[in-house]
Amino acid sequence: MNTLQKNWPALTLTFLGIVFLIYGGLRGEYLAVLRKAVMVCLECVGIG
Amino acid sequence: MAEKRKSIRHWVQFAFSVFTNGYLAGFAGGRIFTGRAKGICLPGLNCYSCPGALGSCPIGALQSVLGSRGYHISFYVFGFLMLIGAVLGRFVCGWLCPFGLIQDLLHKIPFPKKYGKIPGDRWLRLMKWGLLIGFVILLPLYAVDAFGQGKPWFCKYVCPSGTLLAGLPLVLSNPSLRQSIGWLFAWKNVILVSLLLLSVIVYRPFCRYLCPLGAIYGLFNPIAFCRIRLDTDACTSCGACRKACKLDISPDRTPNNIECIRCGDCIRSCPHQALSFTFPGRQQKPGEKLHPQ
Repeated sequence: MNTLQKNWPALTLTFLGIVFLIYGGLRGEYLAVLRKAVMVCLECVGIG
Repeated sequence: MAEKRKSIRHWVQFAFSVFTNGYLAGFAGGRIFTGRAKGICLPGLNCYSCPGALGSCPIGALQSVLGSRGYHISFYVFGFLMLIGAVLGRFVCGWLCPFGLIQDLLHKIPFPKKYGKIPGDRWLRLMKWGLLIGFVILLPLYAVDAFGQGKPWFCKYVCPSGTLLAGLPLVLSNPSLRQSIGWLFAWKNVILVSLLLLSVIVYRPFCRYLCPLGAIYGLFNPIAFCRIRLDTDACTSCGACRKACKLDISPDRTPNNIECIRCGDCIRSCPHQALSFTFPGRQQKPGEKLHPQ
């Protein structure tokens, strides 16, 4: 048995991570991140 | 051979940093990349306002979603962190984070005395948890304005990676931004310079004490696919790995400690080859325990 099959906690979290990622993207979070990331973040830069 | 392997890690860090910050026109023109890839998170602490950044910082993205009106949890960013954490854990910190590379290079500067830790190390390590819970999650979520919008508190008041990778290049190349700097820019530069100076004498002070992304990935270290395997039959507890570890961990006792950044120094230092990296798909050895701490 290899580590991929045996490591069920990591396997479960990987699967859950993919499900969350897709669900979050579908409910508009990808666009929320995109909207923020395509403008200069004045707070991050240390101005705003 | 050991030095050659060590330099491979630095080349990987360098290549990944260049690849994920490859929008060169941004550096020349004092602007940022605006393509759709910007909505995808990068694994390391890579500010999305860096002129070269082709993706987003997961900590910045998390604060921006939590601070947006209408979202009280971010499945998108938590899912990304869960996926990367379960596969790589803090391997990201050691091999893929641009701010980690900068601290690594600074630590190579010769200095009369280098310190394994600073006074109060044990308590200072808890600061990154405070920053994660307070500045990254609770404040953006609950300290909102009249329109229900929260601020990215960690990015605004703490993040030295943002100051170095985004603030300084943009302010230097964009005259209108240069005219707007004030006390906040000065404060963030004080944090940045303090950490950069500290990096010369202490290994990775930001990763140890302040990085909320490292805190999250650290949680996955004990179960991640990519982790360190200890062969207890081969280990003689000679202490070579403890001596080699610059993060003051005991790899012969806790090879998958939440503070381990997978730099591999312990593996290279072991005279008995008792420590090794393990990756997904590797055949399990008879009697090997998969989840040592």
